[in-house]
Amino acid sequence: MISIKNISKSYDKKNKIIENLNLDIKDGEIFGFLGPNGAGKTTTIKMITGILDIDEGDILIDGKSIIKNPVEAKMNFGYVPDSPDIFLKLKGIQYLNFMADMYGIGLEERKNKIEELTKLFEINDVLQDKIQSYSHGMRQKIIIIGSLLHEPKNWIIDEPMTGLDPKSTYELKQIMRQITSKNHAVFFSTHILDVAERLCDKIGIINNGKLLFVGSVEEMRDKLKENKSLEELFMEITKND
Amino acid sequence: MIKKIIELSKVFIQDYFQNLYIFQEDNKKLNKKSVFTWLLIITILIIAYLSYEIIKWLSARGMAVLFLKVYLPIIATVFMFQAILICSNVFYFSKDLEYILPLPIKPIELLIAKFINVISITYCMELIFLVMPLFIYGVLIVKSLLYFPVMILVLVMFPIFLITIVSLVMLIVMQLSKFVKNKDIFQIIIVFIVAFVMIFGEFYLVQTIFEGIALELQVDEENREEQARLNIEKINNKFDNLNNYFLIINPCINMLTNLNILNILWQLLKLIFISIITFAIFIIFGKILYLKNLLKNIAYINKKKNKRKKIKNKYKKYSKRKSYIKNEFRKIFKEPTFFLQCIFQYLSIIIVLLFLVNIFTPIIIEGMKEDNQIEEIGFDNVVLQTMCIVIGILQIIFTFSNLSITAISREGKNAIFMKTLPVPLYKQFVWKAMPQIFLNTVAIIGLAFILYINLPQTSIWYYIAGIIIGMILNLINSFLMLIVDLRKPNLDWATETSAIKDNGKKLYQYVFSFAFIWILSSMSDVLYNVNIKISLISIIIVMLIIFIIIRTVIKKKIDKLFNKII
Repeated sequence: MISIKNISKSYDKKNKIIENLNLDIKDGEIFGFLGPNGAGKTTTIKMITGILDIDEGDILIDGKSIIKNPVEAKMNFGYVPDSPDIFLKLKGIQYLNFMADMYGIGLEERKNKIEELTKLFEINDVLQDKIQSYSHGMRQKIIIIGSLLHEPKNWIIDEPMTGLDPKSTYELKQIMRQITSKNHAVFFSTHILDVAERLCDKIGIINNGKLLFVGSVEEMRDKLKENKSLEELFMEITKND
Repeated sequence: MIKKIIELSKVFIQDYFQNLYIFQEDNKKLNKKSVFTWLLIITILIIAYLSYEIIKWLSARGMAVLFLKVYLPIIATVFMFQAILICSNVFYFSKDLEYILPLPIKPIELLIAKFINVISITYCMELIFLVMPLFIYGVLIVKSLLYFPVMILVLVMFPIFLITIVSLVMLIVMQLSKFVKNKDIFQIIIVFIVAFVMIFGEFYLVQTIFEGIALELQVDEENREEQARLNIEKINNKFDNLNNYFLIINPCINMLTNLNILNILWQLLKLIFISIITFAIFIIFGKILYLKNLLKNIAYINKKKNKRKKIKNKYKKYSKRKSYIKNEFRKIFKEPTFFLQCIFQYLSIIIVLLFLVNIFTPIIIEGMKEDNQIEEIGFDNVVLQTMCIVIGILQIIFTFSNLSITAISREGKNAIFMKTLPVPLYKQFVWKAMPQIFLNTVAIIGLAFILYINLPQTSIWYYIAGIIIGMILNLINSFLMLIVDLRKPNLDWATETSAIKDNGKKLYQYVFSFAFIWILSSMSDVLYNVNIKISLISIIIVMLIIFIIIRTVIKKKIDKLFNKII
């Protein structure tokens, strides 16, 4: 579970990029984080993952504060950044071994997990190649696999569908569902509203650093009393703001 | 053809120099806010000052021309060394080649444009290293207006032959790449081989030509003046012999020292002839070899992209610390640019400086014995001063390292990744400093070894004390430079070269070195006439205190230190 407690962030001490944001991503829930460009999605994700410090408030990952117990908190999530161009000179297997070492995964366990995930994403035959030789989608896959090796209770993903082929997108969605079936949480930001509509148990819409809506798509329809698609509802909410 | 070459060269040169920010983009005036600008100015001023002092000193002894005879081959070596480092990258591995090759450009046009790119970099180095020394030489020694246009001619002609030779060698050597499967490793190996052949070739020449000169300088006390004149003549002849191997240095010196119009024209003709012949050979070989090897390289890169190996995956488990540090080294070793600029360059400098220490230590020891310094100022003071000089040399060696000062910047946009790892930031800080700590340790052990060879009778305890001081200094250096990179990270780079080159952070390294050498010299003054054991323990304690303070501050402020990595 991820609990965002009244967090604020500003870069210049005047204008708040994120203002008093409160959000709970419960176990077993796929949470889609939506918002126009510059709304504060990535800033929020960076604060959750400890990349950015928090001016006010706190974030708890399974009860561990990212401010007070950053290492324990980080053990409880897996993170997939929006850019998959990481460690390009390493071979796929070297990167995965490195990630497994960082999360203290045993030899047998990592072997099984890597084999399982690389077969699922169909990159098991390229692990001996350098990541720089991978296509964008394959790089995305290796990062996703790296983030899943320690079976995180919370999976945080920044724009996960970008660059993935339809099959991998499907696999990714299946994995998200698999994770939530184990009562783990998935938190992801996306621009693809169709995916959010069909996949998410809950969505959060953010604009100008403020959370405009949290709930299911159905709840949003009820709230706005309109029977429209998520795309139209999204436009409505962000326009009014 | 010429138009295309000019246009291509313009693009390559602009691309190479665009991120130095020496000039303001809007009005092309000197960018006073750029640290790089100040770094350049300070370097030029230091070189100018040192040249002034050396020329004045030599001039007082009637040996002013020796400055040109020694300085020009040194600079030629530096230029050739730099050319070796950049040639294979510019000609064969630069990222722009895949964009340029589909354009309607002849291979020879591309080759010449790339050559102009390399030579433009060398002209920039001339601006830093050669213009002021030659200008000062003209003002102090020659005192004729004709000298200055001749100086410009020399500056124009000087690097052409050197760069053409290096380019030609690289062109031929790249032909060997067809025998090597892994071209990433080949690129590194080839730079290693060419550079070491050049360095050791020169050392061999210097040793052969100058063998026994120190002894000759001391004979015959009675006819001192005549002997001194003969010795100077001998030294001049020996340098002339050495410079003959460079082909262009003696004509350049001749032009600058004998300002007779006919002589200038004759020497200039020689220079032009040598340059044209070498350039023509380079073009002939280029026509045959360049495109073929270039395409082979690109094919290799593409083949790598499509190749699917059937090798069994190796699953290995390490501790977090070991895995992290291994990964740090792996990232440097697997990227040729990082390897060349951070490891190879630094190791070469360590080897060259240790070589010089090995050559000069016996001469200095001999001089000290002759001057009866041990009796005059006392054994303890001699040991203290020697130790301070050795530590000062170590600090100067450390200054050349690019490892810690780019440890964060090398990660580029992926630097944020380390903040998401479940490893305390302080531990990551220490582990990131490990590559520099390791290489600095090589320098410390190497220096101790060289001194031990030359001074075997010195007590082992002094070596142990020296190594302890060196290691504390190593930790201080590595940590401080990492702090500098954390506070001023250059994460938004497009090419690996710019990650290393486009940072003015070296200035902090120089400032720290000056400050530290000042502290050392103050301590050697304060501890003068104090028992050597107490002196050494005092130095160790002071340095330990400095290190503990730095470490405590890092631990306390670790989150703040990392807050620019976003």
